[in-house]
Amino acid sequence: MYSMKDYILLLPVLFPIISALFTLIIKKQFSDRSFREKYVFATLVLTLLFTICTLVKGGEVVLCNLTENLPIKLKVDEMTYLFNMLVSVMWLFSGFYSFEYMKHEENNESYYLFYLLTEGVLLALGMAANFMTLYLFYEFMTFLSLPLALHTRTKEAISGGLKYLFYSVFGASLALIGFFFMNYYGNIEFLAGGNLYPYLVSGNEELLKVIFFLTILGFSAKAGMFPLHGWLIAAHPVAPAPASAVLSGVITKAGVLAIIRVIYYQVGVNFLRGTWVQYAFMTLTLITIFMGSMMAYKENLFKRRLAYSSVSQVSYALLGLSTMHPIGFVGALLQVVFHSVTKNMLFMCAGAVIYKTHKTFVDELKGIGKNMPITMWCFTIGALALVGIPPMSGFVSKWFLAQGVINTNIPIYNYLGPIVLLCSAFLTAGYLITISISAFIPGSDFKYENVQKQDPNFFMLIPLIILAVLCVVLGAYPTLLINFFASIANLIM
Amino acid sequence: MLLPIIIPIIFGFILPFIKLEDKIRNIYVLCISILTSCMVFFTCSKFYNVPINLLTINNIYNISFNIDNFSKVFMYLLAVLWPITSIYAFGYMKHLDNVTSFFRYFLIAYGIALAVPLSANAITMYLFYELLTFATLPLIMHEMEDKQVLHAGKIYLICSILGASMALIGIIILSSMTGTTDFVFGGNQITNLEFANYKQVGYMLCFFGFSVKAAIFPFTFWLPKAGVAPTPVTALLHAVAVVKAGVFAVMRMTYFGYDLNGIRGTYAQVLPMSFAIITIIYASFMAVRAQNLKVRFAYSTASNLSYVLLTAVSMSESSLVASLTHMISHAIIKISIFFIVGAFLVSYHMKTIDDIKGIGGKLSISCACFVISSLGLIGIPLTCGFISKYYIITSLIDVHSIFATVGILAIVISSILTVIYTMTIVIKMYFPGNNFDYSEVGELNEVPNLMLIPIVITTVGVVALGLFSSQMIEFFKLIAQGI
Repeated sequence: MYSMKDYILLLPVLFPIISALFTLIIKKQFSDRSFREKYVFATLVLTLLFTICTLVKGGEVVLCNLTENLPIKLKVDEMTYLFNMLVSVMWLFSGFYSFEYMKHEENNESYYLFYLLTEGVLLALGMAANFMTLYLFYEFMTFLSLPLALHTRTKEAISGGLKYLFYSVFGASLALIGFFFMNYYGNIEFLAGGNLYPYLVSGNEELLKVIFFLTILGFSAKAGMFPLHGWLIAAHPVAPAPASAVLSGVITKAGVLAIIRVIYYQVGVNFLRGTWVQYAFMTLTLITIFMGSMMAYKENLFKRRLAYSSVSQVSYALLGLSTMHPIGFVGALLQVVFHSVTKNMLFMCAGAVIYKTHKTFVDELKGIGKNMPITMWCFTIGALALVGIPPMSGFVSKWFLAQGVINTNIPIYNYLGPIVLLCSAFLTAGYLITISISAFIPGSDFKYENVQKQDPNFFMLIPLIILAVLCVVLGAYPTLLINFFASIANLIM
Repeated sequence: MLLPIIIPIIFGFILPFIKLEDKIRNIYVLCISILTSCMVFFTCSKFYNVPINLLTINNIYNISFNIDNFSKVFMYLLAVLWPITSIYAFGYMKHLDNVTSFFRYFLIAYGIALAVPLSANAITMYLFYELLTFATLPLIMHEMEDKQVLHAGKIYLICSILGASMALIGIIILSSMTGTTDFVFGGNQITNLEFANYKQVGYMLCFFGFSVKAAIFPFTFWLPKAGVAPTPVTALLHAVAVVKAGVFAVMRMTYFGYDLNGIRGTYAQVLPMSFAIITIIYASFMAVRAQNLKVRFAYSTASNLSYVLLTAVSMSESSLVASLTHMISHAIIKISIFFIVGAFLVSYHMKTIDDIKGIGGKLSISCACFVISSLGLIGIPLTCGFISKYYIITSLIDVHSIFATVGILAIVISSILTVIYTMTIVIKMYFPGNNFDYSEVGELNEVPNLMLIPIVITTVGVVALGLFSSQMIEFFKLIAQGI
């Protein structure tokens, strides 16, 4: 019933996975660095090309049926465009960057093995056409990205990895309840606008609200929302920098994607809008935004500061989703893209600093801008973007988010939301821009004679610079993205 | 029809008399197991609902046998897993004494276990249920000298007999109410109204009596204690035959013995459900706490059996299908896990979770199988664990009662705990930490082939059943319709 052509959807999923598994066969050649770099790079580029092919072609395909009404189904829809492009592009950048960075880490073979496996699974996650498939690849994503998080095998890394595992699986189990109830009270196929059967729902609304709240809460673990944010702070800082970059930049977005699927493609906004579920969800996101920024401000370890910042920034996107309003939704998607670009870059900057100078604490970074000017300029651009200074990218998304919250007309929240956003922006400036300032203006007691040029080589700098340019370009010319996201918003609301 | 019962009992009984060399004895045991399994498949395809009356004591109590679709499920399960386990046992028992007597009871237990599903009425089932206890006792107490072993055997015996006698009272109440103990789908109608008030008490006695074997709270403790047995026994009897016989008997009494409609919604349904829920949570927590691998998975078994019991007594349309599915899928998953744990134990003397640090790279095949089976136990899609979890929770939603919803919650909590107690092992296996001295692990060769092959077969089964379960489910649906 499906022709060969439809199975082309599998290509971007299977290609990196097979390519990764193939490295187990050619172990000997793969342990050679230059061959490994070429091999991984070729795989990443080809995967990006295949992803674009499938996105252009579109279509859907059922892989198998677990039971008579539980198909594993892939389909290209509007969310797939966003998510899969994000994954394959970010994976390419981060992979390119890692060639240099991983020189000072061991076990590179296993790192790249799981790096490629995770990419395949994430691309499948983006194409998941029903809740079943989403859950399947969501779990696999956790298990396959786990070795990335605990790559260094230190005690902290392992305990961080375990935390990552347990938070994720706990969340997934909560979400699984939602799956079963969705399967009973509706159809698990993703449908823009929701797929609950009203005649079954009537009479069970209260129960279903609890269940779907748990589902949202469960998926929010991956997105680092309070109260399930603990793993992010433990796991991201201990991973190698390119891994933290994708963990923070992309994998947290998998949680956002899953929540979008649940709210907008399964339950439907009409069921949730104006209920306690919406208010509770919104409250949690606001708490997370504020708390994340606050904790980042207090944190002295560089990468952990960035991890807290991720906690806060990903919840911006969740706040946009919780508005259940088209403008807020557009803001959320913009935030997903912008934060992904920015946070990837920031982690790469942190990685470059650690790689070159072994400095991990923020207060050690005084005057680092003199040593590593290009890296720190990129960092500054990223910091400005994250704060939301026009014309950087962050400004546009935050503008839409604030507009969205105000437009919900929920009493108190429509004031509180923008205020929290504003506070968080101040705090973001406090915890990021200060790094830039002390990096470039170290003060009079700084010994300039010790300055030596330490900028990393082009393997690290190229992705940094491209991402920095993207930060500005996306912010200056956001119309294309906004139009696209607005069309999605119209479709599902 | 009685051949599958008679063959292994006779050939098992004479095993010590015909003194055979080890190798030939192994082939002999394997041949008998396979022959019996073939007989099972043959009789199951040949006979359907033709009761055989072996012995009539009076018009109520008689020993008779019958095959219906429900009994086929359990018989197929045994028939598939028993020969696989015997292959594993050849590898495992190499280092132990008295192997011949072990295999004697191993075969006898096979025959008696098959008699439980073949029974046509509650009295016959009770008889063979008791015999199963006695036949498996020598297997548990195989390493006689050890005090711990004797103690475990004693506990096992006391618990089982206590449970069986409770069940017997339940059966007697059933026979006085209905005048018969024959198994009829949907239960026997009450003819003697004088005793009608006892139906709840009777059902509960049956439930708790037979559930003792399934290690329901507060009788959970015997199962981990019995873990001192050689692993083929732990694997087969404590993951499959004995404990599943308990579950099977509960399902028999629920769907074929007592009148369903008289029980549904009364305290006789609520109490068993609550105890099953308690067991699910309690046993999972105990599994997390346990450091000894076999004990850990014994508790996990207890928890998973209560999934089956909970679903079975929820008595909705689809619950019979769901509980049978979980019975099968848990059997395959758990036997594979016990095989692996046992192989570690006997080949490398690894007992606790600290012993298995860092072996992931060395024993790649068996550790990979362990990961897959663990994912199955958690209930990750593509494994059979997910299929059964799917049916269980869907059927529990179908009940629309507060207890079923609590049950769903319990199952979810338990699966989170399952992640903890399996994944901590997996992490220790593969990521022992960077200051770990790999020379401690030393040179390890992969598990001997006689054990590795059964491990791989069952692990493939875990995935295969997860992908292609539709025929099995269709068959269970027939049973649930009373065919």
